[in-house]
Amino acid sequence: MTSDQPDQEERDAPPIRHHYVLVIVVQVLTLTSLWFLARMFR
Amino acid sequence: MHYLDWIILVGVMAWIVWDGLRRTKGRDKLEGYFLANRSIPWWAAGLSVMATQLSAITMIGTTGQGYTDGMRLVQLYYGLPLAMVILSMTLVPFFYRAKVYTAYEYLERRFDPKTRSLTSLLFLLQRGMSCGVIISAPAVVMSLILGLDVTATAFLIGLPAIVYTVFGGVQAVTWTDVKIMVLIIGGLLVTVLLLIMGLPDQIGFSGAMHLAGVTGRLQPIDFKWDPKQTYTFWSGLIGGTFLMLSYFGCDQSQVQRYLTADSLHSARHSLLMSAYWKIPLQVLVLLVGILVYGFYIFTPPPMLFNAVHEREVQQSARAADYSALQGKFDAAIATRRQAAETTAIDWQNGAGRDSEAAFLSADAELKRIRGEAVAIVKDVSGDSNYNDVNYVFPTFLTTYLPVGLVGLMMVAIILAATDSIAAELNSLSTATVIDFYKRYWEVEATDAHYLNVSKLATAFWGIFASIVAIWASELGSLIEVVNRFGSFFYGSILGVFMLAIMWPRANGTGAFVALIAGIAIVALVATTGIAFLWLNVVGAVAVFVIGAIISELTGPRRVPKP
Repeated sequence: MTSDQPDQEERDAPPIRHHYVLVIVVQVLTLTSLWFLARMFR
Repeated sequence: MHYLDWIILVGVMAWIVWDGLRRTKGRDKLEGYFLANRSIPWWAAGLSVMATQLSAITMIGTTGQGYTDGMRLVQLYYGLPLAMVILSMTLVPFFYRAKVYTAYEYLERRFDPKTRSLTSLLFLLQRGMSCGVIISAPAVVMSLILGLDVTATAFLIGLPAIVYTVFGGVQAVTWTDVKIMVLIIGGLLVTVLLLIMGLPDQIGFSGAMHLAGVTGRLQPIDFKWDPKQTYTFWSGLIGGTFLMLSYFGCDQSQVQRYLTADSLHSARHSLLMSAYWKIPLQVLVLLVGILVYGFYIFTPPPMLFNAVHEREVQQSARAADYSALQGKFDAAIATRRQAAETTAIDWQNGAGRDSEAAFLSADAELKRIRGEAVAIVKDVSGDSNYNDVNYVFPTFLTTYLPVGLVGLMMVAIILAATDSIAAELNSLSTATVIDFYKRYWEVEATDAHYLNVSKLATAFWGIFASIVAIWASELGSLIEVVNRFGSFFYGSILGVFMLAIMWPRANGTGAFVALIAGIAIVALVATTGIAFLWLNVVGAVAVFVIGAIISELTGPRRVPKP
């Protein structure tokens, strides 16, 4: 059956939300770096 | 290729297959064969996700794209990190907790059997055909480079995949993916280093990059709002997010990679690995293409990168035209090199940018002459779609890399196709057995029985893919139709999953009718010439809205509780 409730193992797992924020921050930094590098060489 | 390169190529392939099979454990049960008993660590599942997506077409096509068009293509992946975060928060926990083998199995639990069967059938149809393309496209290029028959090259790519997928199941696929990813990334990094070392001392990396920038090859972000332009920041961010949500969330070939993870936490981490590393990896692949362009400014390139076609032209009635063109090409190469040196050195010394115009003019002249050469090939061969961009990178590798490294890079390209095909075969077999055979044919049977059927199904899809690959030129239009059809339902299938999770009162009838309507709407919108990335948005939104309306009209269905 489908379940939208986390099980015990999931509740005991280390937190992951900070990774979600980090992914977006890294993405913004990557794109900004790419844009600056491209400008630098143009 | 030197005989040492051949020894390396065959040796590495044999080792990859043998080691893949050796590491396989617990494959006597269905869960072991298809889901590795959910025992794979997050980093291995993550590398497997990335390896499945990185095929030989990426290695030769994307580097070629970098050579001709620069960084523009990287925008396709701007939605990927966001999609990975959304999937980690939504679909991944649903799949993992439901203990499903296939993504479509979840749809039966949420909706009904017909919705599950239709989505799974669409997957089998599209992926079955694309398997052939994954083999045939690199086989055509690599057969010329290796001097082999196309059929032999197709077997060189496909046979190892069939062997270790049939006997080793998903564990062999995953651990082979890990080794291949290490080989590919290592190979690309060494190639970048060799390319930089191959540039003249006074030009160096920065000079080559400046020349690429002057020709418009350094445009990783294009904010232009044009729905008909394929790669822009907006199409990548919005359309790309929907495409990646669909690919990583609703395509069994990807879903199965992270369902093998040893916990939900690991499954999420394996997807986040792509979120962190996919864009840098694509930048690396495109950078190789850009540096090959820089390298060939200072080292004369061939006028045509496909040596076989060049020989055909030289033996044809248009040999004299071609020879005259070669003279003009050689002169234009020398002019461009001179102008490039002045441009790069002026820029490095801060001496103004006046010399850029001369370089751009010389580059355009060279492009024009190459265009004439390509037109001669089209005339002689009768192939109006002739394009040698996919031969640029392999030609560079076999011409300028030292013995040993050529073999390693060739095997990296071949194995990039092999590992993608293995993951596809594994997922096609899973969908066939779990969604159809076990669902409709033999509902109650032993694990040993299902395991044998699974191996047969894997072998069947392997043989099917090989036949499609070998007859790809004859099946050309059919494959194109199927791939085009595939792009119509990618977003639509995502719409069904969105409906399942985001609209609690959605029911099977609503989902099923909306899926068919969504595909039809996307097919209609595609005729307007809109860029393909936007079709995913159209499909997903159309299915979600239509499905919600029909579900409301045909009566709510209670969401199953655990």
